[in-house]
Amino acid sequence: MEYEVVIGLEVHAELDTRTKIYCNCTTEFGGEPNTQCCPVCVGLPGAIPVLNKKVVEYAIKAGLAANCSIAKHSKQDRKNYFYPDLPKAYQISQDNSPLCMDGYLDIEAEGKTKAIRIDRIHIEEDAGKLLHSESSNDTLIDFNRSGVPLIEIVTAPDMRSSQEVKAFFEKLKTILEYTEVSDCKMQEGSLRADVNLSVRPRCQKSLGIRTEMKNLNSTRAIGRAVEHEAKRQIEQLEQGLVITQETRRWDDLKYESYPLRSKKEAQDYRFFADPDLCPFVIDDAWIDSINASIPELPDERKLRFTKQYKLPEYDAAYITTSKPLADYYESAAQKSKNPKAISNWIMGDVLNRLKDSSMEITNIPISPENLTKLIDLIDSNIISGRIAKQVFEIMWDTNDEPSVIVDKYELRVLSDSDTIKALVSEVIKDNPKAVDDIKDGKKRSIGFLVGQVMRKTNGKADPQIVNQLLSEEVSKLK
Amino acid sequence: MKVNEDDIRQVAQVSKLALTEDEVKYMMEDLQASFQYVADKLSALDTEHVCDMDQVTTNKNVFRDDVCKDSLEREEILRNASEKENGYFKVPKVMEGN
Amino acid sequence: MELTKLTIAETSKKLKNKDISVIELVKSYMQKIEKLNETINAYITICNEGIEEHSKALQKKLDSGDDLPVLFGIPMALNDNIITRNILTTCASKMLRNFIPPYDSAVNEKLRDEGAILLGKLNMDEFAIGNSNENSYFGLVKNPQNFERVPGGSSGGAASAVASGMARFALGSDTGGGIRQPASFCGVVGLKPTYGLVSRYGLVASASSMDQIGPITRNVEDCATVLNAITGYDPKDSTSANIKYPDYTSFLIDDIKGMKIGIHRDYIEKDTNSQVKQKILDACSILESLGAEIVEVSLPTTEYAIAAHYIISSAETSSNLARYDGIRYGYRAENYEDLESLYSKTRGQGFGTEAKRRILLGTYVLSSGHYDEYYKKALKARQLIINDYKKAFEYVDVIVSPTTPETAFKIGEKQDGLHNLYSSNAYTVSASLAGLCAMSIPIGKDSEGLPIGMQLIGKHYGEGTLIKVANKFEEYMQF
Ligand SMILES: [Mg+2]
Ligand SMILES: [Zn+2]
Repeated sequence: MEYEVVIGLEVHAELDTRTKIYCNCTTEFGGEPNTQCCPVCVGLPGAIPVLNKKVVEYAIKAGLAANCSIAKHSKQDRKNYFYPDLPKAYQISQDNSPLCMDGYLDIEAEGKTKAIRIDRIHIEEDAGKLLHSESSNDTLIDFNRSGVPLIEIVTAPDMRSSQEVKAFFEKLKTILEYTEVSDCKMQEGSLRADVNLSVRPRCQKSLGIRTEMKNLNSTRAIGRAVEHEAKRQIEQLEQGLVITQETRRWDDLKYESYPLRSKKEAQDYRFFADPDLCPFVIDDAWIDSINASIPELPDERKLRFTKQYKLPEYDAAYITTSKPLADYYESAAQKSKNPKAISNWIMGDVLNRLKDSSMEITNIPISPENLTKLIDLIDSNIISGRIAKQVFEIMWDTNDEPSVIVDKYELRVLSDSDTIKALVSEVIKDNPKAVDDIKDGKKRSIGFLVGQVMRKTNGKADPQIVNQLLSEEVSKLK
Repeated sequence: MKVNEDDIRQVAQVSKLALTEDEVKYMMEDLQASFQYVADKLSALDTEHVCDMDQVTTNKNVFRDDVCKDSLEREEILRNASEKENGYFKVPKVMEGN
Repeated sequence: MELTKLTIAETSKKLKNKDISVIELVKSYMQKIEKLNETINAYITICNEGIEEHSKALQKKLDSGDDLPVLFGIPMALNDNIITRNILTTCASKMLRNFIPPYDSAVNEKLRDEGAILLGKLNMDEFAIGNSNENSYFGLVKNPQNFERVPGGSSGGAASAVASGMARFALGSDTGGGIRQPASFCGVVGLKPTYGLVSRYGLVASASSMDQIGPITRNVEDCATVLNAITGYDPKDSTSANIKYPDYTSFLIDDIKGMKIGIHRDYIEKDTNSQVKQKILDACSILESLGAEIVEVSLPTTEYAIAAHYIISSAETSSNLARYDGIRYGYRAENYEDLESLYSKTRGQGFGTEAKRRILLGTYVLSSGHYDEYYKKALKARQLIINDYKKAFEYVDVIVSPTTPETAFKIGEKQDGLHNLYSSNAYTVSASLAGLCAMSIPIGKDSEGLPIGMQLIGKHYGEGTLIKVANKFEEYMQF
């Protein structure tokens, strides 16, 4: 039988605010355990929350960027459950009045464009972190993360393949980065996804029983988990088994998942409006001012890059997936006569070099202006493409202007015919065998002679001139 | 509205309260009477066209600026904990998913 | 001269005139505590340590001749659910019997800035749940007027300490009558301010939508003075009122001629003890003789207040008490096998019966199968009660009723059951649900010599009006 896979996502993104959602503690990652805590975020008796305004603004910003409508009235609710990482034994979240509703994001997957609906985006607080003690068989708790602001983004079950899921997730990530709502550092847990997945026979209308997959901390892991879970469920159905509605945990190293808890004993969270907090009313003026702060989003930017810089669709899409990358490209391209060469350099040497040194585009040592100048030097034939790579390396270490480097290391292209002619004669004299080979019709040996000339000039000679002069001189010998 | 002992046990489990059998019995009888009173009263009240009163405060849009202030010293955060280790709070091993 | 009998203003004047010293003053209160507390049990913690040095430091400041606040040097005490930095704060619960907070409540900060002296922390019903002060891990409190009677609750320690001169004033907490009912039982003045008037930052929550801190004092003037010190907008409390705060003592000079005072007929006719009823009617005649116009008001939905209050307060309490899990602070069970038993044993052993009852009930009414039937319905009832009060306050300035249907009951007399437990809060819960200010003032005694209190309910932020009426009445009684 043919099956259809139905997938929805729940994404938690930590907001890039300075302070936590309900107190003035820092949200910085990686502090010593329990050093970024106060009465509010460890839930001491008597401590009460006051909402960080930035959290509401960031959530609305994300909602607008994801084409959501923004609630006019909203409130915060308590979600009650016991867990050692949850200090008050309730999470302040939003139950039936999320800040943002009914949005969508367009994705491109498998050659098609498709809209994935977003049911809701709401604000809530993050929990602390549990870790295993090394000296005892106990669990240790660090509340530094407790109270870090989150938005939870819930999609409709609109995705049908791992490609679509990955495309959506990447798109969402790009948007959150573009709006600077979240830093989206997955390795620091800033962006976490849960996958809800079910399968059904193609002809069936109603949805199958779904599972929820947790602990997905990279786009790749999401893709793998989706494929694995779809396969597992289909196999179960093929064997005539019933899918258990449950939460599962993905192990990306072992490439398998295992059940955490069955949803049948699902907790009753006993939501109710938090009496310690006030409702909010969001007027149009506020929404407008937030809207005005939203920068150009990736889709528009991609389109503009193809027009303004005549970039091929592929280049434009690639570069605009990351806002800092696109920003870097744009500052370089604006002053360049050859924007396509800049995109080649960025997608090639720049990204490779960053990867080699495990760096992000945001801390690249070469300024975009200098990259533009480097390409100008190539285009005006002052250095060769090969030499340019050498200059690039020196720029990486020094961030000197490329022309300064070229002068300092005497890397300018050698195009003076007399000088080259003298070198050509020397080479011909020193390599009679190769010259004979050429005479015998072995055209390839001319390349060898070119190489010899280039070596004498440390690669600086203009290869075209060398080629031309060599051919002339050799033919004279005939 | 009849509250039975299983209801009490179930609610006690959700609210993480270990009750003795005597307590279960006592609470059952007590809550039974309470619910009787409350249900009798409230069912007589017509609330058909009344909006829910979610919050009693008339304050709206009360916000804080996103400005860092000092957290407490770790020593102060931890000082009332009965079990701690290396700057962490400590609990018996948490089985994932419980 | 018995120093503990002086009003705040009198005491302050004597301190400033150097008739007495802070050291002397504190000593006389401490002697009173030494003498009475063993019997009455109003204090859980007495702040002996360092109090002499502290008094000396304050005296030095007085001697320097600076212009100091009226509460400077005044000995007072706080309910033990008001957080005090580095001073044991137990909420009268086994759960917090060793809890030393690393931070301060907004009110304690304010009082310290004023120079008031903290004598100690007061006994109460555990987590402010109860109305007899019999639900305390630290033992029951006796009514100073009659040792066989309860002082009321939850702020029983506060009312009895003030009534017996063990503190010049105290701050209690009121969720459904927790200040007013014990004030009535002990014959003192107790004010539950409008919701939002006093910061809840550092008040250990019982039912957050109704909890308010308020003063318990010997007279109305003291009440106004203390109110001045503890009110004000607090950005650390989202529900704090951002209004222009008046000088509450300015209402002490006003008269009440032409004022409209509503009498809550239902609260008099229903279950009210005949002696209480008579005293209230007498009090109304007095108010009338002082120039006020007495009219009857109808508040039909206040009949549902007990049911609504029971559900809403239990729901909130069940959530507020969930944080006591033995992990970050508070009691942790001795023997537990795993996380689950750590939780349930800690909570099973750490909470008293009344707290457990509320937790179970609150959890039940918030559960998905019962939410609409109970919790939602109670919220609607609450809205109706608010509407009723709103309508009534279109016609009257203040509404009066007995504070409680009867005077202080005997210790052990009312142990279990909703009806028993709530009967003495029957007239106080509706103002809590509506977030209104309400005050209890002593208006006389019954044949057994037990105090009778009159409740004055005011509009939102109508404390000044309450003080005005209460003060005029008090003046009349003193003639
Ligand atoms: Mg969530
Ligand atoms: Zn904090």
